[in-house]
Amino acid sequence: MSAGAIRAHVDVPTGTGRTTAWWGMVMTILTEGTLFAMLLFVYFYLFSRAPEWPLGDIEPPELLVVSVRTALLFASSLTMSVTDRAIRRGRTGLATTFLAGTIMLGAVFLVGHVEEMLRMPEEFTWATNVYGSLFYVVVNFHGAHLLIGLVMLAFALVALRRGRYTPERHEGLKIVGMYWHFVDVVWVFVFPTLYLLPHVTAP
Amino acid sequence: MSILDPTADSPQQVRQRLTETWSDPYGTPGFFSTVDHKRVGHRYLVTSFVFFLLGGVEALLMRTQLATPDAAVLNPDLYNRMLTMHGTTMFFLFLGTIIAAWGNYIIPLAIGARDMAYPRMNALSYWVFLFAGIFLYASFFVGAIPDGGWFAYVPLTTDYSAGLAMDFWALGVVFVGISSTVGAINFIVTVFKMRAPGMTMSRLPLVVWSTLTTSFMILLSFPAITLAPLLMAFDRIVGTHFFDAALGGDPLLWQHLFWFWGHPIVYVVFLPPIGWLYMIIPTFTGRPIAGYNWAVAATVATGFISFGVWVHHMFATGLPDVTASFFSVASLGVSFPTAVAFFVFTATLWTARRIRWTAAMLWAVGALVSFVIGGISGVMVAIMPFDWQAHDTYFVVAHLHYVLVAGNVLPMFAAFHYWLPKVTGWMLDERLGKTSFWVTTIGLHVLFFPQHWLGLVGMPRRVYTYPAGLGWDVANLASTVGGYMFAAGVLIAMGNFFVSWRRRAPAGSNPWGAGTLEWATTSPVAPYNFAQIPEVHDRYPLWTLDGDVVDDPVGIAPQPGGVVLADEHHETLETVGLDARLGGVLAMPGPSYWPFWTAAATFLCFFGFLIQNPITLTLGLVAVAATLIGWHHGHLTGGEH
Ligand code: HEM
Ligand SMILES: [Cu+2]
Repeated sequence: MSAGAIRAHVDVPTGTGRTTAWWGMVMTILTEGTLFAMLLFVYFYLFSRAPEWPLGDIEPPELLVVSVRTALLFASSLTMSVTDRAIRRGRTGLATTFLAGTIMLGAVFLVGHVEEMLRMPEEFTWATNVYGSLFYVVVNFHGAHLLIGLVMLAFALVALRRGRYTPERHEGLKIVGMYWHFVDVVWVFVFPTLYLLPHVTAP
Repeated sequence: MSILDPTADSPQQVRQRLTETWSDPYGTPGFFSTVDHKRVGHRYLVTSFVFFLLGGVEALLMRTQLATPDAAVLNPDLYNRMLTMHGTTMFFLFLGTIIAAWGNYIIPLAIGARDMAYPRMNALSYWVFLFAGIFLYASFFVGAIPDGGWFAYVPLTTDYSAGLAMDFWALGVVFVGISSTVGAINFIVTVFKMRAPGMTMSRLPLVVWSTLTTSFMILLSFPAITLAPLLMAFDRIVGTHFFDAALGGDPLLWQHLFWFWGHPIVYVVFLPPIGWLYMIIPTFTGRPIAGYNWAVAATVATGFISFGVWVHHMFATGLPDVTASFFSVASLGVSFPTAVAFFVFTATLWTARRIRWTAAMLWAVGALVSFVIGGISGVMVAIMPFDWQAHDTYFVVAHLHYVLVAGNVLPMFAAFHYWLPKVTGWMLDERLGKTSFWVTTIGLHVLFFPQHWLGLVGMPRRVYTYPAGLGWDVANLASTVGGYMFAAGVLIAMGNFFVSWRRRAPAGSNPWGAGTLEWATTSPVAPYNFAQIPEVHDRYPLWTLDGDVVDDPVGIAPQPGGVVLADEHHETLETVGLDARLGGVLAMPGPSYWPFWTAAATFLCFFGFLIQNPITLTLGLVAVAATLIGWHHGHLTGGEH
C-alpha cells in the first residue's frame, strides 16, 4: 500500500469499526455485570443455607409501589431507545424530549428508592440479620449505579442541547444509553430476587 | 488533523514537531499531569519494586524469627502482622502491579501505537495504585498493622481483630482493585483498537496475548476481591452480618469469594511473565518461537480453566466428595496448557542454531527451570488425599513461593535485563547481571526447597516458632540462609543498575537484534514513540526487514505503507477488526491533572470510611464526582481534543 493510498484512507475521520469508547463501555459493563452476578450469588448462597426466608420475623417486601417503579424504569429504557433512533435520523428536538423523559423516569424511580430507604428501617435494618444486610446492600448497590447513570444522562442532555451530537457522531449518547440499559437489565434480576422471591418462600 | 507528506518535510522537521506535540510540560506540572504511557510505566516499575523490597524486608524478619527454635526476634502478634503485610504487599502491591509496569511500557510499543487507548485512565490507574499502597502502609504509622492474614479468613478478621487493623486491609484491597480493573480495560481496548495496520491477531507478539488474556481474567475475577472485602468492611464497620453465622451469615462464603479471585490471580500474575519469556527467548535463540499457535492456545486455555478450580484451596473444609473430586480433576487440567507452554519453550531452545547466554537469557531460562518444581508440587497438592496431608504445612509455602518467585520474580529480572536498555538508553553490566542471577537463583532453591521436606515432616505454616527437637532445625536454618542469599542477589541486581547508570554504555535502538516493534524506535523512546507508524506483515517485522529498522531512528525513510502523522494534537492510528485494517486517526487527550485529583479524592473516600466519619466520606464522594465532572467537562464544551 502506498503512502498516498493510506493518506486517502486516513482522511476519513471515523473508522468503520467500534470506537475505543464503545469498547471501554462494553468492558466496564462486563466487569460490573460480574460484580452484580457475584452479589446475587451471595444472596442465593445465603438464602440456600437459611432455615426460613425472610429470616426472623421480617415480612416479605410490599410490592405495589415497587412494581410501579419497575414499570417506570423499564419504560425509561424504551424512551432511551427512541432517543438513540431520533439522533440517528438527525431529529435533535425529538431526541432531547425523549432523553429528558428518560431522565425523568429514572429520577422518579430513584426518589422512590430513597423514600423506601427512609421508610424501611422501621421494619428491619441491615443489622437485623443477614436477610436485612442483603436487602439493603443489594438494593443500594443498584441505586448507586442508577444515580451514576442519571448523572451520565444529564451530561448527555447538556451535550445534546449544545448540538454536540449529529447523525454521524453521537457516540457519547449511544454509550451512555448502553450503561442505562445495563442498569435496567440488572434490575430485571434484582427485582425478582429481592422482592418476589421472599413472597414465594415466606411461610 | 494533518498528515505529513514524508517527501515534503525533512525528517528533522517532522521529529521536531512531533517532539513538541508529545512532550509533557516541564518540571512539576508535567510530573503531575503526564499521561505518557512510558512515564506511567516507569512509575509503576519503581513503585512496585519498592513494595517488593518492603515485602522482602517483612519476609526476612519472619525468616529470621524462624531460623532457630524458640527464637524471640518477633513476638507472635508482630509475626502475624508481618505475615499479613508480606502476603498482602507481595500479592496486591507487587505481583499484580509489576505486570502493569511492563504492560504499560511495552504493549503500546510492541503493537506500534503511540499511547494506550485511554491515556488519562492510565494515569489514573497508577495514581490510584500509589494512593492505595500509601493507604495500606499508613497502618504502620497509626499502629494498626493488619493482623488477620493476607487471606483474611473470617471470623479471624471479623470477631477476633480489634481496632482499625483489618479495616485498613479490607479497604486497601478494594482500593488497589480499582486500579487493576481500570488498567485491564485500558489494555483490552488498546490491543483491540490500536495495533499498527496489518498486525492481525495471529501476528500479535505473545506478550500482548498474555496481557490480553490476563486483562479479561481481571475483569471477571476482581469483582470478587472487590465484593468480599467490601462486605467484610460492612460487617466490621456498619454492622451487617454477611459472615456472621449467628445471624444467618456464613464464614465459608468468605472462602468461596476469596478463592474465586485467589486462584485466577495466580495465573494473572504468572501469564504476563510467561509472555515476557516468549519475547526474550526467541531473541537470544535467534529464531521465531516454535509453535506460536500452541502458545496462544495455551495462554487462552489457562485463562479459561483457571476459573473452574478455586475450590482446590478448600479441600480441607469438608465439602461434598463429588464437588471436591470435580475440582481436583479440573485442577489437574490446568497443568496441560502450562505443559504446552513449556514444550513450546523447549522446542524453541532445542532447535536453536546458537543460543546467546546473556544475563537476560540466563534469568529467563532459570525462571523456566525453577518453575517446573513449583508446577510439579502443584500437581501433587491438586490431588485430594495428598492435599489433606500437605494442607497448611510448609509444603504449601514451598509450592506457593516456587510458583510465584519462579513465575514472576525471576521473569521480572529477565525483563529488567532485557528491556531496561530500551527504557533508559544504556546497557546493564552483563557480568553483574549474571552474578546476581546465580546468587538469587541458588538462594531461591536453598530457601524454598527444604520447605517441601519441612512440610512433609509436619511443620505447619503460619506459625511464629517451633520447639527444638522435632528435627526441623537444620532445614529451617538452611531456609533462612537461603533467604539472605536471595536478598543479596536482589541487592547485586540493584547495584548493577546504579553502576551501569553511572557508566551509561549506549544501547542503540536494538542492542539484542530482536524482531519485535518495540525495538524499532530510539532508546530511550522518543515522546511520540514512532515518527512513522509501521505497517506490519509478519510476527517479527524487524527480522524480515533484515535489521533495517522500520522507524529508522534518525530520519523517516519513506517506508512502504508507513504512515506519518504530526499535528498540534496527539494523534495515532486506529485500526479495525481482528486483522487490523486501517480505520482512521485517533485524537488522544494530552496531559491533565484530573487523574491525580480523582485518585486523591478517592483516597479521601476510603479514609472517611476507615475512620467512620460520614462527613469525610461524603466530602470524598462529592470530590470524586467533582473531579470526574471536571475531567469530562471538555467533552461538553468541545474545548478538548
Ligand atoms: C526473600 C524471600 C522470601 C522469604 C524469606 C519469604 C518468606 C515467607 C514466609 C516465612 C512466609 C510465611 C509462611 C507461613 O508462615 O505460612 C511467607 C508467606 C508468603 N509469601 Fe513469602 N517470602 C519471600 C519471598 C516472597 C515473594 C517474592 C513473594 C511473592 C512474589 C512471596 C509471597 C508470599 C505470600 C503470598 C505468602 C503468604 C502465604 C501464606 O498464605 O502463608 N514471598 N513468605
Ligand atoms: Cu489455586
